[in-house]
Amino acid sequence: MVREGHADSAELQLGVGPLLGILAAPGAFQCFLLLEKYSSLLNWFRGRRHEDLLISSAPDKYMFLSIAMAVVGIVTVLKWDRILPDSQDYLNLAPLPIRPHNILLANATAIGIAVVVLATAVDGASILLFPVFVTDASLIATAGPIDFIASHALCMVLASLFGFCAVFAVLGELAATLPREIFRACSSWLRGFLLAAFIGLLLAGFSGPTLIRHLERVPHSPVRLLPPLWYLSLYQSIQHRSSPAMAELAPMAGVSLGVALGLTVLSYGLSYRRRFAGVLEGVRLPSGRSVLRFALALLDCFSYRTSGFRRASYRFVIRTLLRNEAQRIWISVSVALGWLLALQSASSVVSPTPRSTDSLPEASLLAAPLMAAYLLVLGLRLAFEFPAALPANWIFRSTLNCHEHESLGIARRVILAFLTLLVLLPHLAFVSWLRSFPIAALQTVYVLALSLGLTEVLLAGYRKIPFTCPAPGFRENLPLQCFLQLLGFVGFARIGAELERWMLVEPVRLLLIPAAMSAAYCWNQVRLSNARVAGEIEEGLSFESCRSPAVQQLQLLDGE
Amino acid sequence: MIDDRQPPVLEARGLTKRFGGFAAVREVSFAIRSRQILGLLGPNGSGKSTIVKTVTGLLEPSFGAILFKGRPMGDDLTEYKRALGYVPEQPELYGFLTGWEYLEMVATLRNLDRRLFRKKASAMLEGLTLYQSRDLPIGSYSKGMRQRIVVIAALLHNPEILILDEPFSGLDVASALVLRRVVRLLAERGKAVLFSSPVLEQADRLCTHLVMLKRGSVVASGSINEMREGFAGLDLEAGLIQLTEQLDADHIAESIAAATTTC
Repeated sequence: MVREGHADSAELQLGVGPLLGILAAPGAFQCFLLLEKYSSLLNWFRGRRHEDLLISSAPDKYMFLSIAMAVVGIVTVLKWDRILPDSQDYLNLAPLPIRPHNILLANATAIGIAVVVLATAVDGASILLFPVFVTDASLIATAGPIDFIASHALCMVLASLFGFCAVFAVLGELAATLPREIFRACSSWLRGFLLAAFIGLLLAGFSGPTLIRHLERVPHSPVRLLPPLWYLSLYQSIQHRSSPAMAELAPMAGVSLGVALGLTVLSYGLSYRRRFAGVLEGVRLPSGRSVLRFALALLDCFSYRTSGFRRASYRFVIRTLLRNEAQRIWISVSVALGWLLALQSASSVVSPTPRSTDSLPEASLLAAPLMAAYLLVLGLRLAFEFPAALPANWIFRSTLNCHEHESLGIARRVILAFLTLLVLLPHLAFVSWLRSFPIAALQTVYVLALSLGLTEVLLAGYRKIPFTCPAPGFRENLPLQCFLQLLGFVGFARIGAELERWMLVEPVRLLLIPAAMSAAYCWNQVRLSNARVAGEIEEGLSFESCRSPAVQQLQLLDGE
Repeated sequence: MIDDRQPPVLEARGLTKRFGGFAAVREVSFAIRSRQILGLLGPNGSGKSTIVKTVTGLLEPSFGAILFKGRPMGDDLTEYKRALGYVPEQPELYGFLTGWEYLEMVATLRNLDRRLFRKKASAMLEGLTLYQSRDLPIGSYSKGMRQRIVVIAALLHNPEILILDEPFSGLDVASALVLRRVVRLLAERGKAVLFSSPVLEQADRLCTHLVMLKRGSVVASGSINEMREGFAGLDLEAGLIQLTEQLDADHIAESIAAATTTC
């Protein structure tokens, strides 16, 4: 999806058609998944002739509302820097004889149009298809398709608008109230966490039935704070199918949208003044240095001691990850998502009375750090592929002899540094509190061993200095890559946790880990040595991005 | 004193660089000796930066060779790169690093002792009036400040060969003056300097030797004195324009002014 040639960023560069297609895909895909559920013939066979589909379709409506909110929110977060005019616009527009309020109005109109187009793209397929499926499938009298389409469209558009306004309100208010440099320093982290929250919201869309049942049982549970439930309540109220618990939540949709919209307008006015008209005022201070100094110092503890290529590259990589916009967002998404899933997994089994050491921990608890580790390692590995200030890589190219250096160790060390600080140490502290230090140490070593194995697999053949090469094209393999990573995640977390549980039954089994790692290391050394002799591997640094596809066509017919 | 009989430190022989079917540089040869400042002079698009990028190893030549102390530079690339200090035409830097961090990175890449780095970098930053701004991110620097950082980065490791691609671009008068004197002093202390510029005045003030380029080919070369003598009565500027541009500046200026004032 990343088009090569845009040197300075890892931003997605797509034409309007493909972009709208991608935005429409989740909703359209979900519609087609529901074809089977709403087939009137199948429902007749299943004996669901007397089912009120306006009620039983609530989980699907919840899913569509989650998609509408999350996709619009994600796009708004990703495009935040492009929404308001920036210094480049200011330099181009300010000298022209155009009044500032005309520029403001033009920009506001453009934002409005963009939101409408976005909401139409995201919601269009479901607005047309879903109500038709449901009304056609219904064997008892329900609302007509036009009424259904109208209520579905209204709620979906409101949910999309809320997704946009919520992001705008949060980021806009902070941009308007915080000092410019502080906002600049924390903006990308905040955007990363917002992205993770929207991804979480999207994933929670699959839990619609559970959430609705839970709300019915416990009307005042924290579940009621989930925004898609507000819009689902409004939806059901419009269709006169809301339960008492839902009816209570319905006004929240209007109130939340009103508040978000109001804050959006307010922050837009203030941000416009600060970001556009005041763009050239003041001196830029060190961006987030004070905020990040502690993190840098901690991560630098893992640096190479001796001067040279490896020390310079390690420190460069750490600073890029912490300071460059694209990398910061990427890492914060990986960390936030990893911890979100880990907490979700752990929270289901953590006992309110800790320090019981007699029983084995649940597999869900053991899987939690593995989930966080997997997403962090994968996130870092992918972040390495995104270029940062690519034209500036001349300093490496003109200084280094590419045949003399290797970057694999640097990438490995960076991953280990982040892993230690963000997963291993918190895990050690948590398990020490929950059980005891020796058990915590054993479990942490296990997570470390598996993470090192994963790192080695993901870094196989890595020859680049991170961020100094053009982004590789992976468009042709994207679905397969995603599928493989999903499988990898499930395997790493679930099988890894079960294996750990099996080893903890007889702790002597843990000795299998160093044995397996030594065997894998020896095998890899032999493999590399053979490949080197056969001239099958390239070594040294590379500043190119030639990535072999995950699936290769054999082109068997080419020789004919 | 420059001794033209001593072996060159850096030599280009029949250098040709093609981009597809287009030859940006054709059969260019020159040699730089210790204490020489060789100027590559020519209008925009004459191939100066391509030659510089090829000499620094950023581009592979299509034909020809670059010799370092008489041997192809690829024979001991590490040694060659260690001997090289390079100031590129565009000061592309990592904007999220501070000036100090960038210099520290370059010094570490070049295995410079940390204490020596601090001493050198502080002195150079003071000299080029950047010391106060050393802890600001480079993204906030002006073009001139970036240019000065690049110059310092090129000088930190005491290079034997200094390659400067339009180094005065963006510099203020004082910094340009300081840099010019630094380059001259370094040449006097035995460095070989390759200096590329489209501005004759700068080359005239600084260089001991010149290579004039037009559309990727050498049209004249020699020491400054030899060039002056070769133009037989014309000054350097007139000689350069005659060799490279062959344009009627007065006529062009008249047509642009007329177009501007047309209502």
